[in-house]
Amino acid sequence: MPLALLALASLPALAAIYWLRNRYRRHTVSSLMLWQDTLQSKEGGTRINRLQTPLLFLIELAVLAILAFAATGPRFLSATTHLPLKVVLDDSYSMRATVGGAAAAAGDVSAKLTARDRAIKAIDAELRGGTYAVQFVLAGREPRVLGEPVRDVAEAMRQLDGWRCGSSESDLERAIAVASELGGARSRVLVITDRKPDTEPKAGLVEWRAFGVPTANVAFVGATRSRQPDRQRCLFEIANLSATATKAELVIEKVADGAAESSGAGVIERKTVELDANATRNVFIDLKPDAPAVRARLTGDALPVDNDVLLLRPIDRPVRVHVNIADQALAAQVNRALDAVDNVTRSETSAELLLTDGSSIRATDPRLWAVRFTVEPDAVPYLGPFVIDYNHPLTDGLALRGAIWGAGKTQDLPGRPLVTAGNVTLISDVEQAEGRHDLRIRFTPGSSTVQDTPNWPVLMWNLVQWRASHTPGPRDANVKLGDDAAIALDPRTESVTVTRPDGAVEKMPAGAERLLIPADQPGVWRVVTNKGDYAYAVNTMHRNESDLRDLASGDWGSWAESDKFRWEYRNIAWVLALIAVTLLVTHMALISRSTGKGVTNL
Amino acid sequence: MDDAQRNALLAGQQAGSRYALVMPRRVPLGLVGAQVGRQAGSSLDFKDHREYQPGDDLRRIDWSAYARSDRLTIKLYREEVSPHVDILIDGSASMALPGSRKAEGVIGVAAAIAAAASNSHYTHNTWIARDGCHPVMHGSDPPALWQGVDFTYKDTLHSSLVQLPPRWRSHSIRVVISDLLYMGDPLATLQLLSNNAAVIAVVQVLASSDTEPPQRGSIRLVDSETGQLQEVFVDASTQKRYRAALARHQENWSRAATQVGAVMTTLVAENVLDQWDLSPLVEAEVFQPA
Repeated sequence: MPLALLALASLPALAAIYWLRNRYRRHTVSSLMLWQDTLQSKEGGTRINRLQTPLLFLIELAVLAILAFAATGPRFLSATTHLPLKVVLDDSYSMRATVGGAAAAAGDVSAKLTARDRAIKAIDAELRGGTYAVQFVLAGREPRVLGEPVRDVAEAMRQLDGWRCGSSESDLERAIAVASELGGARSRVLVITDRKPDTEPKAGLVEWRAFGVPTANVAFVGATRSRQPDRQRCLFEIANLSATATKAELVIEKVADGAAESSGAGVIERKTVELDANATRNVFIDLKPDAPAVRARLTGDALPVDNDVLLLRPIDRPVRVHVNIADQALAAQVNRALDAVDNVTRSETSAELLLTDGSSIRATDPRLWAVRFTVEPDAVPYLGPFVIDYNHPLTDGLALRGAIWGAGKTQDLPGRPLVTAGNVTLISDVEQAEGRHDLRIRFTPGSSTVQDTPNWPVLMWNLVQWRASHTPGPRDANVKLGDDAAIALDPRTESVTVTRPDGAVEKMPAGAERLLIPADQPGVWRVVTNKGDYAYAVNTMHRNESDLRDLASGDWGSWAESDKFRWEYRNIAWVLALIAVTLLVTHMALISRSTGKGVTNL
Repeated sequence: MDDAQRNALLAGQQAGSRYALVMPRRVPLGLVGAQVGRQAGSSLDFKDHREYQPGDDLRRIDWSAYARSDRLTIKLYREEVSPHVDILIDGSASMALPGSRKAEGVIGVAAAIAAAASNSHYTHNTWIARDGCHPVMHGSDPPALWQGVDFTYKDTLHSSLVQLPPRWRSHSIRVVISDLLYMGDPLATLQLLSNNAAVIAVVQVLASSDTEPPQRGSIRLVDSETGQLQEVFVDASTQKRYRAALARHQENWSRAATQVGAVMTTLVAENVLDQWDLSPLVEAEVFQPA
């Protein structure tokens, strides 16, 4: 085809021929008298002459252009059925970037359009230009189908309302794979993104269209809030994602707990942050232990979403522990280890975790987890080999090599073995139907050295944290966009309602002990259950996604290159050739008619 | 005159020396050359007697006859006509058409006529029509001595004749050399020429580019005299129309020449200069081989 386009060079050649032909040669004559007849004739026929010369020229020009176009083998879509089209939509938040810069500041409307806005226009044009059954696949961290295939353009455009561009990343490869799987071998795949492909799509199955514009950006790329005994500390990482130094105005303010927006009255700090090119600066602030949520904002730029961070108070989740162990030596070891864990509170009446060496346990409260120690007089020291199920949260970090574990020989433990010495189970876990766990630990301190190794506090710390993780509520108050927000539910939970930052409400299934909610939208999320209300904040803090310097625009790949779609196209070269012949006949007719009439200027 | 024109002058003189100027049959007045004129004159040849009329030259009274008849009688002698040729060269700029050898042809033809006149023992005088008709320096001498022939006049031959007519010799043979390519009534011009002339010969000298229009293409025409521009696309039809216009123009001149008893012939400068073929003048009975 590119070679055929070389034929277009004949157009300027023809124009040159006409120009040279029509260029006036200077000719000195004795008198213009003898030319009067010719001149008068020319003036009398001006209308005809002036019309016909460009007409013939235009006809010849059109013929050459048509033939050149025909040589490229043009085809048009001839299918009458709706062609399957899968549109992979980059759902990352960089698609919400505008052009920014001086143009946007000057009020240029086009400069305020995001890549998503531009892409939607292109999608609309594509859908209106063809006959498709279109289905959208969102390419976020995980591919997600936006809806069923639709044939109506308006309906398809309505589906795009669900394309929010809030993901922290876009796994386009997987999304393309899903789209291809959904569509089958005859389906076209259209990728809409803001970056160019790593490798240009081949085989004509995928068309890749990018709508990004490289732009400088200043963004929060990290933010944490931690609790310390006498204060809370916030850290904000601010990155200048450009090749030039810049300044950013940082405002940190208090926000009432649970409020999505600040009142504006509680500014904690306002400062100008100077940033070198490609530099990242950390900003710390200390808060009172009871300080509410804080919001940090940066000066507006091309991507507003990463200029805002909301940090809720860290979740304080103490575990009420009751130790009821008769063996003094064991009790002392247990209490000593529990004292080293910061979120342990002692409570005998409303304990959530009971550690005991007895057999009597109140099993009616589903919140009460029990750890039963079995101290055996005939215990023997086990040197190993110890087998540890590291998939259990209780065993995280345990390393028993070199330790001596004292336990009996014969007693078998019910439930899932977590630690064994050979074929002797030392720790087992029994999960009850209501979600409660009973741990069995065969441990005789007199025959063991484990309590003298780091393994002992590790085991106790794991035990408390494991129990804490099952305390109803979010695991973390502040979640990074793209991660999963883990919500522990009370076993008696009957209803769960999740309210997204944009106000969308979603009913979630109750019954599970833990709910994992993809944090795919920045802002404050709310989870309401019949056992409690919870909130957590999601923030965009992804350097790669906020770095807009690699954005690109352009088209890559073409469905027309695929042999699979060739049958859907009809070659129209013969039609063009026919038009060219018709024009040539007209051309000759005009010439012969004009010659017959004695018109001079043809 | 430049060297080319000077060479043409000499070549024309040499070519004209092979011819003699012929008195056309339609010469209406007097004798030409050594023959007697029709009117009584001052020659020695006696013609007749007539009665004296007031105003007659008293020296011509035949006193012998008065003695015999007592009547004053005038002795009439035949008039002796001195043959003379006035050559009028059109000095307009078109006669030196750029890109042609027209000026050389005009000068050569004028020289040939002067040389032929000398062969016929005619005296000659040469005039150049510019802003009025002026004698060419040494125009009565052999052509080789002529000076001051140039073609710079920006108007027509007719306007020059009107502005300042030549001081023609009475009853002279008048030869006009021009391309005749100007608008106007040929008869009006020829009447100015024919006043008191014995005979008039109109020699039209054209360049080959005057006779043949330019080749096909877009042409920007430039009038050699006025500088006026006109653009035209030349093709076969245009060429045909041009040739027809030239033929019609020549026909007009020829018809006018007939009306005043003049002869007219056309020469193409390049053809003349190539071989000095003056046969058209012979065919027009202006020349005859010497």
